[in-house]
Amino acid sequence: MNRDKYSHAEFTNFRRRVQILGMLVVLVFVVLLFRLWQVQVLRGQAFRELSENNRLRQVRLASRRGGIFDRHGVPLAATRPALNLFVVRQDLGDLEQTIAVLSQRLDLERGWLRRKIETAPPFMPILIRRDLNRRDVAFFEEHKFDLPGVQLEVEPIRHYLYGPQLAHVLGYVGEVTEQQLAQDRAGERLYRPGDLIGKTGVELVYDRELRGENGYKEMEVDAHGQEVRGIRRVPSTPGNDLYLTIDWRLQQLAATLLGSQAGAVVALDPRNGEVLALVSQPAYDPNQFVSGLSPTIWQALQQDPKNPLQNRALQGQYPPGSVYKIIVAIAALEEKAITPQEELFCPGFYSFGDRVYHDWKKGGHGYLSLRRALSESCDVYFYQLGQRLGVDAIAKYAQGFGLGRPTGIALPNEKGGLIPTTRWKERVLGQPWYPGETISIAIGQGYNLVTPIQQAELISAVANGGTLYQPYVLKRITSELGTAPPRTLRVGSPHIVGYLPAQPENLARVRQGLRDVVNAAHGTGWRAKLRNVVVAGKTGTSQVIRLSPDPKDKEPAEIPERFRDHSWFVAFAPFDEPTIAVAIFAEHSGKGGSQFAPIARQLIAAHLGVDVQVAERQARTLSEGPRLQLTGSAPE
Amino acid sequence: MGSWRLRENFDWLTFLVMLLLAGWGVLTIYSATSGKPDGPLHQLYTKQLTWLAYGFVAFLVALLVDYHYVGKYAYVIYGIAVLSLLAVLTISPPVQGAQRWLGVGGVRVQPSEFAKIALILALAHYFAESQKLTPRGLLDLLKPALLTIVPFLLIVKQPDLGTALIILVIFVGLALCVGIQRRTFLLLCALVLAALPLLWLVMQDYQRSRVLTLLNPGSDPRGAGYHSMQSLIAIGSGGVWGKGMFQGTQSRLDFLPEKHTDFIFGVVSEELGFFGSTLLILLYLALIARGVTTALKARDRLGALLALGIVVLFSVTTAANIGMTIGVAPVVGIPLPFMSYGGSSLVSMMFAFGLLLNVRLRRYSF
Repeated sequence: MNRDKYSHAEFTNFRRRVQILGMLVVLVFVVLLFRLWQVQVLRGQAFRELSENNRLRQVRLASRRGGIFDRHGVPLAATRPALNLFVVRQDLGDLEQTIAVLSQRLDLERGWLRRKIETAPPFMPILIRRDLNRRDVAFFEEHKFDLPGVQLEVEPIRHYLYGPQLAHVLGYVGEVTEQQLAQDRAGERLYRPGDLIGKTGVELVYDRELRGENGYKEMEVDAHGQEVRGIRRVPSTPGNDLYLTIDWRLQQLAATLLGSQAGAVVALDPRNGEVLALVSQPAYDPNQFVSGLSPTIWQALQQDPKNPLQNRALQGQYPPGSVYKIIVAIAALEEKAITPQEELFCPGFYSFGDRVYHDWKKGGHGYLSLRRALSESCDVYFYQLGQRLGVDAIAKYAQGFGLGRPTGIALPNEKGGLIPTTRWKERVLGQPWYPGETISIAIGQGYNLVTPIQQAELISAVANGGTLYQPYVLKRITSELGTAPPRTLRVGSPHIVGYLPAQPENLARVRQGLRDVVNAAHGTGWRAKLRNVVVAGKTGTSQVIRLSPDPKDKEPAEIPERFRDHSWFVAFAPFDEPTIAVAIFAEHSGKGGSQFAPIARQLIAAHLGVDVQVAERQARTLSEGPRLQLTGSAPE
Repeated sequence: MGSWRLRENFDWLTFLVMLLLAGWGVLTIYSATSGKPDGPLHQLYTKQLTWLAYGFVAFLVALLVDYHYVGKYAYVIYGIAVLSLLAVLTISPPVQGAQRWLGVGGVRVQPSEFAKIALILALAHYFAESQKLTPRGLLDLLKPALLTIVPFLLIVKQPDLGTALIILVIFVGLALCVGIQRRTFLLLCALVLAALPLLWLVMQDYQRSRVLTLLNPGSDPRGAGYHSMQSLIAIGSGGVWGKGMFQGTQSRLDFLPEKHTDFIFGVVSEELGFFGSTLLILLYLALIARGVTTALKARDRLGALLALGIVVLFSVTTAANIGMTIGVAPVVGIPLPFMSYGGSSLVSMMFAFGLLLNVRLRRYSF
């Protein structure tokens, strides 16, 4: 071992090399310090945010959507707990494996799933599937530890207690779309991705009242996504409750009575315009929409030739048929085109130019005045009134009855129908009005188009003595917040949109005719008759195509369904102080309106609390004789 | 045996800074593992305290036995180290795909940690014995290179590339200080450059991806870059003053991986900020500077080279570890001296510092 001290020169050289090495080391540490300064001081704030994102997780606490009740407090739409599946990208183990499992288990498209996961912020829970079924819940609970970052959360979800029976009134909720979100971001910022919002019906119109306010829970999580502790909790605010003017009993009865017949039933309270029942058939089950409709069901609904998504009561536009005679009658009286006493002759047909216009009754009605013309719905009588009035005068009165424009009911996508005038025809079709066309117009055929709710509003105004109320469905909005008895926030109130252009005495004369429709011998609406209550009404048939020369010769069954006639029946009761007005529409029924009068009778009886069975028997007894022979030929 | 008359030559500064770092390490380990009350690592800091006690014994042994006496047995020690490395490869079961540990009486030790010191001893002994500290030619380097290559290859085989590279650096550092002729130096540089592609071929996939991640951070933040990214977040989010002791969310909530071992620097930086990390680095620099003066003040070649080897080992390990946590060096399993949890690392480093202070203690003795 060499214990000698090394020589001076040797040491100096050695020291120089060591010093260089030492400086190199210092340089390395200076670089490290510089980098630390860069990371901690310059970019500290950005990294602080990243670490907060790592640590803090916000979970939305979905608000409970307000309940929807009928006028008597019967619950129509409520909420139930559903388990939803979320994915937090940051916590995912193997992205590919997760996508594979989810797409297979939940039947989701991989590309869609990948986009959804990859475009969201890494720490934000992304809703993948709403309302898992029990087997899927069991599956994901079981594989909880194999699928980190996949979470199940409870959310109150909409439940429609009576499914299709109220579909077109209530509408449905569904997940907010990208488009709606984009719009919302520019405006009020009410929605977050994955929110359920009203898509149509009452759910859409009163979404703001119903939705409440989402709360959130902020918590600290560890690297495995497990909650370590809660930090903050802002509870959600439940939505307000909605009480509708709908009478659930009546609604259900109307839907049941209409059965599989496509069509609509609207019942109004003529004293204020409250909608007591609004049925459109066929319908769909709104519950299907809540948890996300599968593309196949959606396609089936959209392509269904019967179009169950259409709310016929508001969106279906059909010729009004003989219900229109009410308007023509008023017009003729007001314009003094006829007196109540003047009788016109009906031989069963009417010749104009080189055409012959038939009456629904082959042999004709003979001589009749306005009252009997209404009750027996004589076509020839009204052909002549039409000739005397002209199309524009009729149109003026039709508009006075609220036709040709939407009623303005607070439900989405209402149509306005069409009341033709000479100017309209010139403008739209570029043709002059032919006087022969007025003949069709006079009995509610031709270009005329109305919606069932317009018909209901119209008959309701006739019932109440001439006031046109805008139909409405909202009875009141209440809040359960803070107060023991629910606090009423808002009350639906009647809105008068106009008055019928009719002198009281003229309106009274027409009302007499409508009373006879149901109650007089040979009245076309005799099937609506009740024993204890005086019902008034009007039948109607709208021709879908003109079948010549005499369509009545053909049995309905021989005509293809899409060419069969529509049927109408409008009614109100009790005659002196009406509390209900109904309009019934049956699409392509191929039958006369009188065939649907029993629906009105049942609804009225139910509404007034009269025993319908007794009344029915009574009606049968009274109708013995000539009417029984007529039943087969569908009186117009 | 050294002279107790020279007690004033004991380097109290180095000793105290060493203890300070070790104590700070225990505290940080406690902080990093106590995030969740019943976590599996909750009692780890007490184990580190035990290791610290063992380390102190090792330190005393290394300090008190005259380093010349130790130097006599340099090759014996070296031989034992190589044998233990062989044993690791032959008898120990792989843990996470690597064979690095050897069970000795119920304790798992990492022979590679001790092999580094054994190599320093052997190289210092060789260079000191062979000639004066004058520049060497290629042939003069053959023997020391052979001494280096054996443990290097054995450690590469484990695989533990980080430690193996440190073995290489020890050799290079010592050789450079002893002196290398200019042309030999240039030749060696060329050789190293030529060997780089070869190194790439030898590397495992995960090692390659770590290097790639370093070159292109954020390329795969959930995969290879995850450790790097989370470490950067931890350190960066500490800001200037840190989140406060025991307040580091990244480490305490497990976002920072290997937080109590290789990434412990991240915990300090997160909780104490730039202030704390700078202080820590200054403490390491102080130890290095002190080590360099010890090497220069050593009374003979063996002492100087021994001290120098330990300084090289210490600085490279420290720089590589910190560089890895702040994303300027690839992620390799190298602990932070005195701080990281781990018996082998702590005990071997304290032993090394015992030797270092031994050299300083005996600079005037005869």
